[in-house]
Amino acid sequence: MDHGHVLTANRLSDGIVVFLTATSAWSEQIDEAVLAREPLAAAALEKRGVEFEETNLVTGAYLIEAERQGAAITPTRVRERIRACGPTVAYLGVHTPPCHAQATAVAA
Amino acid sequence: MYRYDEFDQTFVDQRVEQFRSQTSRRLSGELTEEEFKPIRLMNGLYLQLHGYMLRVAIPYGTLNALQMRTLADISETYDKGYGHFTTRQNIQYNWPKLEDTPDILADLASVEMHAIQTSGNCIRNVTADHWAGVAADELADPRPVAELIRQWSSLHPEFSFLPRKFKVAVTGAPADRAAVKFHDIGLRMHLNDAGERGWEVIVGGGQGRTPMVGVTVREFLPEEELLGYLEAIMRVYNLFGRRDNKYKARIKILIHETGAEEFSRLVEEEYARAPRPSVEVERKELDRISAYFAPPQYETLSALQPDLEGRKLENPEFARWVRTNVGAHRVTGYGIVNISLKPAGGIPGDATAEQMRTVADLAERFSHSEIRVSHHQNLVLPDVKLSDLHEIWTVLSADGMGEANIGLLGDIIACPGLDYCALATARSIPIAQSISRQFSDPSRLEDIGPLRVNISGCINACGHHHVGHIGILGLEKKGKEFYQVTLGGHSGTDASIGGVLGKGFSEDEIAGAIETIVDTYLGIRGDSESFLECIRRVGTPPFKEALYAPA
Amino acid sequence: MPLLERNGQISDDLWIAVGDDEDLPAQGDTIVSYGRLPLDAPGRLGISLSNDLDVGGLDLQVDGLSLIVLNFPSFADGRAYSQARALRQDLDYSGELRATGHLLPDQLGFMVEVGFDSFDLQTDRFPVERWTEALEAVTLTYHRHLSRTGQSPIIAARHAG
Ligand code: SF4
Repeated sequence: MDHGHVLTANRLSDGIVVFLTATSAWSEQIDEAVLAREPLAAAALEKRGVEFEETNLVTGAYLIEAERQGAAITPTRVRERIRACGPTVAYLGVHTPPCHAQATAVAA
Repeated sequence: MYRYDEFDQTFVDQRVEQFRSQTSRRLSGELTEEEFKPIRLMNGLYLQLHGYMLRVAIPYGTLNALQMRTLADISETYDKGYGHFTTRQNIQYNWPKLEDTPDILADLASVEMHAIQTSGNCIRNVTADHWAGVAADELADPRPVAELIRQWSSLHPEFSFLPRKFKVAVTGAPADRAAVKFHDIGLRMHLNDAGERGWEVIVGGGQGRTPMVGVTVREFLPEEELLGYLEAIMRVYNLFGRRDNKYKARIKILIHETGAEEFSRLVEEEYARAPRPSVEVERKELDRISAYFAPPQYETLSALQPDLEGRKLENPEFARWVRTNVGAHRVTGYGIVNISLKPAGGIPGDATAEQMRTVADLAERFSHSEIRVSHHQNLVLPDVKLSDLHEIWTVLSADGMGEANIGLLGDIIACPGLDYCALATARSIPIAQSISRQFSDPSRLEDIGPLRVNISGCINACGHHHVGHIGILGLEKKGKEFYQVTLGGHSGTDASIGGVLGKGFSEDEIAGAIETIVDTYLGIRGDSESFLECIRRVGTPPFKEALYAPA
Repeated sequence: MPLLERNGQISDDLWIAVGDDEDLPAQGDTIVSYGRLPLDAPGRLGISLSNDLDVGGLDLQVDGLSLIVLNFPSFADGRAYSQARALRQDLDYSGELRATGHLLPDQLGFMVEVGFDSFDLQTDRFPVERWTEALEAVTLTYHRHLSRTGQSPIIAARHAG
């Protein structure tokens, strides 16, 4: 299991939560994010976030703590797990995202 | 209800176009996020946990059928087909895009609505008694004054960059249904000895991390002097309110730190010094607005409703709904229908586009096209003939809105909490769901009687936990959510703030803890003694004992 | 630094701001802080007021003043709006009222309404049209009696005649 940091932000145009990938793209899937395992790498990621904000593609970039197990990346804090997966309650007309089961399993 | 004239319409239209230009400047990068943020907030657009959130103002909680339909359409065109009615009588959309927001605002403007000042450090959307104009106990409809305040506070040049947000609530009835003692300014209409109408001006109430009951700075303010006096209060606050610490920036802290007497003196001094709006013009303007709120043509109906009584006898569920959800109307033969948005296991305050349309249809057919939003996150059809109740109940029940639980334990107030809110420390919706599931038997709810459970997902207290008879506050410790319980809060005329019971509970324990509290109450209550009365009589010891004593 | 006037004109700022420990120049129009009053100035005299002064309660003689500068240390700090109103209404000040500090184009409308005449832009962050457009974006207002135009345009129009 790898522990480290992932860079997240909201896409400027529609607000959707995104994560920075190894190819410097922004993905809606946290599992596709690049995980910085060393503090130096994390600092570099954070710097990338500031640069991306300046290009006005995303807004509010920040680092979150996360763990990778196999292909899955899971944030450490409840807040970030919910942010990555969507609401834990089945909201009207929309079912709970599948990653929610995994998110609450970690929470429990 | 109020209709925009050409000035109101132009005012809102200009604002939409201004925001359209601002949004495109943000998208093109000309404006930075730091520069754009105060602009989008002034137009109700937040960046929340999962994305943008748009809060639309429903001034003093009153809207018509066409407006409700537009809210439904917006939820389908630009969002995921539902909306969330809030404790400030607004509606929130959880998934709008920034690039769509100018269009949403234009759609709203086309039905005389907007999202101006639903956020930011300005005078927020004014709230009022959701039974305004129809309640049996009311002196006068407070909505003309609420509309006057809405217009006066819209883009107020002097008060748009206050130390912190500012909330105003009004009521025209002795029974306080608008929580006027928990607002920055609360206004309660009453009569003086000469029988003239005026306002009790209550300042500095609020919830959040420092809950306080407001203090009265003027017992009786003549109606026409209201705006001049409000300006004096706002001015003292704008100049002297703290700006060094956002947690100490509300007016309640200013009053607490300067003392209520000194604060009143400053306000009176300012009021004596400043020129006032012409009383004559205010009278004319108030009369102009009041004309829009003239009561509809009511029919002369009999107090005896044999058909209704027959239906109730036939159908105990309907009879229960009439008992719990229909309020006393000031006109004989009419009732106030309170529609519960709190089905057992549901999300408090959420409504689908379809449900919004159902309510709009019912309003058109049975309630002079008028709808209200209550700060309990429910909807109201204010002008219903008692003879129509059965049909309304049938339609509502078919659409998941027939719950008979208004004011009872199932009628839980809950903020969005960590499922949606960026500031949350814990989830609140799942807690509301597990409690409402646990207490879903309507006859049991009725037996328990009036009991308000209010849940907030953090110390900001949007879920009004401080004034819940049972309040629940979600917190986080070491990466785990837990829930603190308070007892004895109340937001009515005899307002009080709940006291913390003891150590918190986990998500799995909380419904059981509420069960224990309720059982304890049932065991010790006196004849027809409500939960709140019981707490006020015995205090917290029996409940602490039941919850925390080693088995 | 460009100076914007409420009619949309851009002009050069000819006023000389004099620091608290500096002597006045031999000639020219000068701006000093409020604490240096009373004072004999070579030309016209202006003062700068910090935004924590309760202007309405000050014993300020506005008669000899040609300019008053009010400060916005941050765009979010709105105290100077109330100061401007007090100067215009409580003290009947009719000279030039200028805003300086952290200004944003979208605030100009509010500033004009409470009585400001000129804006010390201090920044080339925005193109000039942004500022001039902003002066025209919202033409209607509900507020009752703040600006020198007197009545609220909306309320006055509604009850005209
Ligand atoms: S109380 Fe806290 S969690 Fe709930 S809506 Fe308000 S800020 Fe968000």
